[in-house]
Amino acid sequence: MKKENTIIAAKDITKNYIVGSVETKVLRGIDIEIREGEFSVITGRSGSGKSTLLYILSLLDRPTSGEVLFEKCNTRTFSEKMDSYCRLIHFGFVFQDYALLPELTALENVVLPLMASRDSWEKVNDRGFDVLDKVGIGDKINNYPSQLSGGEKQRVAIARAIINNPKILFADEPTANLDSKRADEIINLLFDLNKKGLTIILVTHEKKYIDRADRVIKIDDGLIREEKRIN
Amino acid sequence: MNFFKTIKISFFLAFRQIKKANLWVNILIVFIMTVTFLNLVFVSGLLEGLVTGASKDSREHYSGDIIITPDEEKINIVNTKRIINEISQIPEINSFSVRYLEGARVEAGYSTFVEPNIERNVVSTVITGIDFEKEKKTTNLDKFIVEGEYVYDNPQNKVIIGSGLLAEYDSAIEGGNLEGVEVGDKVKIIAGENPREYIVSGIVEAKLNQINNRIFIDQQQFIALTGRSPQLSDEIAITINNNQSLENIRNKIGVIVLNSQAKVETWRESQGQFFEDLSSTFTILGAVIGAIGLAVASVTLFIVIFINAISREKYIGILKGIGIDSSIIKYSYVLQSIFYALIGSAIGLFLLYLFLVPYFDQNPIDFPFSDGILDVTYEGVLIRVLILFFSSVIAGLIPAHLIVKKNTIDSILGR
Repeated sequence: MKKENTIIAAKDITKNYIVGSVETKVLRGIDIEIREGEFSVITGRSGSGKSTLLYILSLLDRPTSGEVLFEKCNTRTFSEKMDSYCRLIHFGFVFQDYALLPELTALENVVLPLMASRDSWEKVNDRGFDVLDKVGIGDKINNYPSQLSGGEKQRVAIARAIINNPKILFADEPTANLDSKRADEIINLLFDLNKKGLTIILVTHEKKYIDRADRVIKIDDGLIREEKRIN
Repeated sequence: MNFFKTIKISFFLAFRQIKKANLWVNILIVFIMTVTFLNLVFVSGLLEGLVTGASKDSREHYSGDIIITPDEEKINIVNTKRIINEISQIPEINSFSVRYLEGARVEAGYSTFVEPNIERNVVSTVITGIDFEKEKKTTNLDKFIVEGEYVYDNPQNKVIIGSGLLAEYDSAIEGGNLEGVEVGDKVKIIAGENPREYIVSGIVEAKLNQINNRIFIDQQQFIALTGRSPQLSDEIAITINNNQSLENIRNKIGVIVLNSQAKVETWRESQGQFFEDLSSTFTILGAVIGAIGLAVASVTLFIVIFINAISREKYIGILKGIGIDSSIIKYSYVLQSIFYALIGSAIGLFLLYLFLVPYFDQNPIDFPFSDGILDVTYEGVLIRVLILFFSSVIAGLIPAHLIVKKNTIDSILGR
């Protein structure tokens, strides 16, 4: 269910890091527009700036210059609280190393954003169970992350990312730590979610996944070198 | 986000972190908080207990609840018989003891004295004429007998000697003391020109100079020795029945002693400003030591929470990354800190009231001038619990704030 309207856009984004007296330009003027319902892949070699771009788009980090527009709102004017609220309600993020909280069970990890977004906690666990079931891990809700395999952890992470029905799901190389079979399962799960209307921005350099995306943005040396719409 | 929900999620996170934390780390932190709490209460309580113990001793074993003494610039209380007669009529009064005091010299070992050039075994002191039975009832003087026995009957020619006058007990007394005096020995008391011989019935030792540095003889013997009129006394110690107003009875007695050259004071008034100043001094000292202990504990808790927060920096970043508000994360650390402080205080309270206070009541510390008890009040304890509570809030908030304010993605990636 692809729509034509832009859900998030980056305008002339730059990002510099200063380490000691050396300034490194990671992004050097990125312009992109992501449409609602699109499955976009950002790819490029290591150190090209693709993850940094994802962090900036998802409001986990701020650009040195340029603007991120979410639903036409300039996020530069957002306070830290608004950034946080946006990440809680509108965005989901799947990290490469799962980023689960070790002291919480799978269910608790998943429902935490829901608890933070709802005034009433009634049926929070029911919803958590439904989502975990949807990602295929409904039988391990009470397991702690240390009791789950890599693939299972990533499913929990995806469940957590989608629990609040976000508008965009950002995924930063979610299959990097998984074997080929588990990686395919995770990517299939993401494509399933996309089919249901969720906008997904995936960072990966796996060619077989790139080929399935609606759109591919190839970054090199902090600049977009290639941008093509596949489907 | 409303405050209630913020606290609810903070509590959820704090509880889960404590639950999954290393058991020994939890025990160590709670132990530190317990020791800190006890340090706050114990040190100040012991210092205050030192003064309270001395004050209590003075009340129970010297002044009674109320004491009548000669007015300023007067030598004796006059009309003693009328005063005690009228005091006896006051129903709230439990007991009283009239005391007659006179400076005297006491000599021992005189039967073996042969060499005129050798210094005589003599001490200058205050002889105190008392009714042994009434003194016992009023101040429990008999409890302080450390050798020999109290004078229960046939008081003629018997004396009780304060240990402070004896070299075996106190070699530091100014003006010398008696050497080699034992129970059953004869001593000579010289008041004015009249020496009389007495047998040492017992030796008393207390934490009060008014007991240790006096010699006690029977009232009638005192009068016979000194020629003092029984109407001219020096101290009347009075105890009252429980639950009676000291001030009311003092006022009643005040009317009785009018025109008797005497003043009436409650035990507290008789101890004067010095005791109050001493008490205030020890309170301040206790507060200073407690404050140092509190500062050390706050820094310890700060370090523990800080290390905990630093080691969890990645997870703090993740929480922020998934949209959990910074205030929730900060409060979760504050709640953990409060949890440790409250559990530490609760264990401290348990130890304090179940073991320490009863123990020190039964086994006071033997300080030179008082029996050191643990003087803790509920108000004082509550204040210290609150102090610890607020210190733990600050000790939890600052490190959490320092970590939370870091860039989210830097925290997640450990940069």
